[in-house]
Amino acid sequence: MRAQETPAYSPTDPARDTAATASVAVGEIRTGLLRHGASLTTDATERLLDLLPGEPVLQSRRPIDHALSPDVANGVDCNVLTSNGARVHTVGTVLTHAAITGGRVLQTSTYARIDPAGSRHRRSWAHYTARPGRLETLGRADADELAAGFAALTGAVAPGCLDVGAVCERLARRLQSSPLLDGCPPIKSQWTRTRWTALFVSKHDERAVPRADFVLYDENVRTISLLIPYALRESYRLGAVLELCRDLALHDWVLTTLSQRIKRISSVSGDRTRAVGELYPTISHLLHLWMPGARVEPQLARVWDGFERQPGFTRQWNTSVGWIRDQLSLHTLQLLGGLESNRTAG
Amino acid sequence: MIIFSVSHKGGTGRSVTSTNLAYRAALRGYNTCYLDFDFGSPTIGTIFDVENTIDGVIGNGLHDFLGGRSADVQRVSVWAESKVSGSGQPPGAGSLTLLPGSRGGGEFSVDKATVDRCTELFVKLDEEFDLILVDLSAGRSFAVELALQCTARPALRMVPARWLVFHRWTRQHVRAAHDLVYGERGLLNSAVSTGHDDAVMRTLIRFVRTAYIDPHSPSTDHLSPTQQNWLFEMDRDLEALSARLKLGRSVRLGSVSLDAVLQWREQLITDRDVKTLGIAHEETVRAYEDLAQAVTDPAVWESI
Amino acid sequence: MDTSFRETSTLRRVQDVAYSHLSVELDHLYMEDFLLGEQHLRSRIEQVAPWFETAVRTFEARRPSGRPRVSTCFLVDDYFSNLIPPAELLPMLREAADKGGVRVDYVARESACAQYEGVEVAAIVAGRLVSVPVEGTDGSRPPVAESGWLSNGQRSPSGPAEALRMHAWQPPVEAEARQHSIFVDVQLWSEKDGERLWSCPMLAAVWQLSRLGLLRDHGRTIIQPRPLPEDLPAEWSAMPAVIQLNRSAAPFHGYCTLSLLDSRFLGIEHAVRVILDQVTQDAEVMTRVVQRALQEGMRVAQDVTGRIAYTFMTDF
Ligand SMILES: Nc1ncnc2c1ncn2[C@@H]1O[C@H](COP(=O)(O)OP(=O)(O)OP(=O)(O)O)[C@@H](O)[C@H]1O
Ligand SMILES: [Mg+2]
Repeated sequence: MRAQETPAYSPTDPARDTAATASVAVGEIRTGLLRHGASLTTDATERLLDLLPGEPVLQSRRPIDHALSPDVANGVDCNVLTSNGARVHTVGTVLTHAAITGGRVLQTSTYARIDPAGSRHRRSWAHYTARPGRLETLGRADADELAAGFAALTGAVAPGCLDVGAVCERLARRLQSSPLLDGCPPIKSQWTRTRWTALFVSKHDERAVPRADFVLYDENVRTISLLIPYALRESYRLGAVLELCRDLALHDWVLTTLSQRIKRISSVSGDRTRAVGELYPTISHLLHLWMPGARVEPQLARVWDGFERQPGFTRQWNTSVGWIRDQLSLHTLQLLGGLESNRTAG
Repeated sequence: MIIFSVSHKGGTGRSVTSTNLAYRAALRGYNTCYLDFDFGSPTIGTIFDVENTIDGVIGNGLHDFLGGRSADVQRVSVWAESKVSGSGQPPGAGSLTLLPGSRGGGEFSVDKATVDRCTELFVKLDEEFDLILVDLSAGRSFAVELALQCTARPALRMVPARWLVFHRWTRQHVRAAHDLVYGERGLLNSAVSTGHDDAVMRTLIRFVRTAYIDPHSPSTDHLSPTQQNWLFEMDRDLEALSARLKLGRSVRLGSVSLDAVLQWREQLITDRDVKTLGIAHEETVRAYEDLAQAVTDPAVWESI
Repeated sequence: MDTSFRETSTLRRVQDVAYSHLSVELDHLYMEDFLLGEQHLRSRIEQVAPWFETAVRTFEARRPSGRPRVSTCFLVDDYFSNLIPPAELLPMLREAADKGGVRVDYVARESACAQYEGVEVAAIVAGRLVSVPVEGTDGSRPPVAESGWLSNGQRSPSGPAEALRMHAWQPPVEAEARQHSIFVDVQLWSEKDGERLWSCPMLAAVWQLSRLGLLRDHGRTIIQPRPLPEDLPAEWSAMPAVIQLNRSAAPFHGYCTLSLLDSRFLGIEHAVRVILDQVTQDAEVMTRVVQRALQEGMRVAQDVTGRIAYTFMTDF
């Protein structure tokens, strides 16, 4: 029946694929601490992230251990909300992968590129499986409105509307329950959710690219809205954009977690044993993770530079690390002082 | 650490005592969350005095999540939402988060998917919270079964579990509490049949006496000598009975005395209730603090 | 100063393969069919020959720009039975083909579609299955999966007998139904003593993908033709996955495939398409193939099932 639609040697129109119609990519990243007492070994990381037979886990060692799983696909046929409240029917697959940084931080990320000029009717499923990570709207939609609508959705997702967060949460839960992990994370910490959108802007567009807006909502919800040069859309896996978003989400998580630790350490500072007990894992498990922009493509590095100027991620990081080190010195001093007075007493 | 609150029947003071325990633990700096697993009648919102959750929430309460009807489960920050705290998180306190049940509640079967979801939830909460208090429905319920199955899963093997059995101080209640734990269809046997080790499970169970009237306390001063003697005798008999039924002193985590405020109203007892308003007893607060201390004190749980 | 730093472990390389324009499968036989003797084999081949000629002629007519590369292949079923050793079967097949007037360029063995040289080939394909969503699938729930089965839509609700008794039967739904459903539920494998036995449609789906040059293990091609061994081994498992019988053959892989099959395989091939529709493809591999074909003036469908054609033959 469907052979009429796609005859055996039917052309796909490559011109349509590269035409400068605006397109948008959306996704969500969940970032949290791996449920493991020590830094996860390269070997265990490889096994944990081996999500798809026949696909490699990509590992790198400089400037920090980093591993990336292959993408697994999920089929969806649902609505996406635009900024003006319209529901746009989309069909296709979203991709999900996991990354581990420093053997410590787990990120799961689900994403898709939305092509806003899909056919009027749903096509054969083979059409979508041939384009993993792509959603097509049924009927035309406006890329800007799609991006804005997705970014605006920071609370619960309405039933029937695309829920990328749930997809990456499922992978996160599955990995965190893996027998490869010992189940004893060194500190208590929270997960953050980072929703992001990337609007690919053509040369003729007046807007300056790349551009990024980072919004912190409550404790754990963030959004990143990106304007990206159109050329970067071409990379098959949106690699550069995903890398940038994961990097931002990762460092935001480290910062968030560190400030939560500081709050906690301050609250128990009267009790030296407890305070030191809280300080140690903070120092040995969090402080080495700060490597902003480590894997970000040169074309997008400007985004990080911007965030360094305002609000100054690294500035806040340095201040926090300084505070922690001071606390440790203080407690050590007090401890030595205690020993000293014991000795004079004895 | 996951703490399961159980009792043989309704109205023993299980919810009021464990919420107060959670409150005190949070004040001591522990990040604490409270799960309303009382699938028959979710009521925890009332005790925490959080509006809109008085009898559960709609759409994404615990029942919806466990039943697979909601991908997420609602969280309520008690410090932010409850009238109890006055002005947000008290200095030095940990977080205090409530996971309310669903309005209308309703039981469900404990199938594999439910156990999967529940285990994942516990794993996730354990990543964040020092203490996870789970208020299970009274008696031998689905909730108890679910808790046992989840904690038998490998993913939770490293997460310490504690079981608190609440009972009042009468012969009937003592016998019933015994039955709940040691009876033929009791907690221990169920635990063993879900894959737990009997000897280990025994070390995880402690008893909590609620609405207790201490014959030594000044509150009994107004009684006649005969009445007082009778109280002493009763207390001694009950203590002997408990010891015989293996819920005596050595396995008692604590006691909470009868407090008039709680007899009138299910609520958190704040320091203000004691110090400023003078309506609740200092003793009550101390009992809850002691419970919060004991439940987190490794020495208490080392062995029996 | 410009600097550059790279780690090879972070790169994902995808190997290319050589392509014919068309890969034609010349019938498919069970091992038992070979036992029916040379005469039977001959008559089967003779039956294929005219269909093959017609197919090639039609294909050439539609591609006026030069002579297309067409290769032929034959799949030996050594997975479900192992009755006849290669040393006996191959000469038999060659002779029958020669006499029947068709040339067989490549012979492949089916069990290589399950596992080959330590690579779990079928498992790689199974891992890439993404079941077709029904409307309303928004990602919030895990996809409904029955281990070892794949359908082309939504199954009838099932549940404890008591719960079901309360409701009337509800039909399954084909996700791409036009008014009415043709619901198919395909068994991908069965399990016995922890061993997975892949189903015939599953292996046939792998076979199609390997002919299309779309299979990769860590970026490397898995099933590549090798020359005919000097001494034919007694066991099929000692044979290469694909043997090149004809030295001057066009490449084994094809931009498109055509299978000339007996009508008895209609059901299996329907199941194969149900599977292939739901296998996600490596976007990089797919795009490269499309582009290469285009450079040769040939337009190839993006989706896999659009590249597969059949002729079902009847023994008149
Ligand atoms: N220490 C106490 N002194 C006086 N009354 C108390 C005390 N503890 C609890 N109560 C009261 O006992 C009643 C039952 O308590 P609660 O609701 O906590 O019991 P429960 O075991 O959770 O019951 P259910 O199974 O119905 O949920 C409540 O009215 C409560 O206020
Ligand atoms: Mg209760």
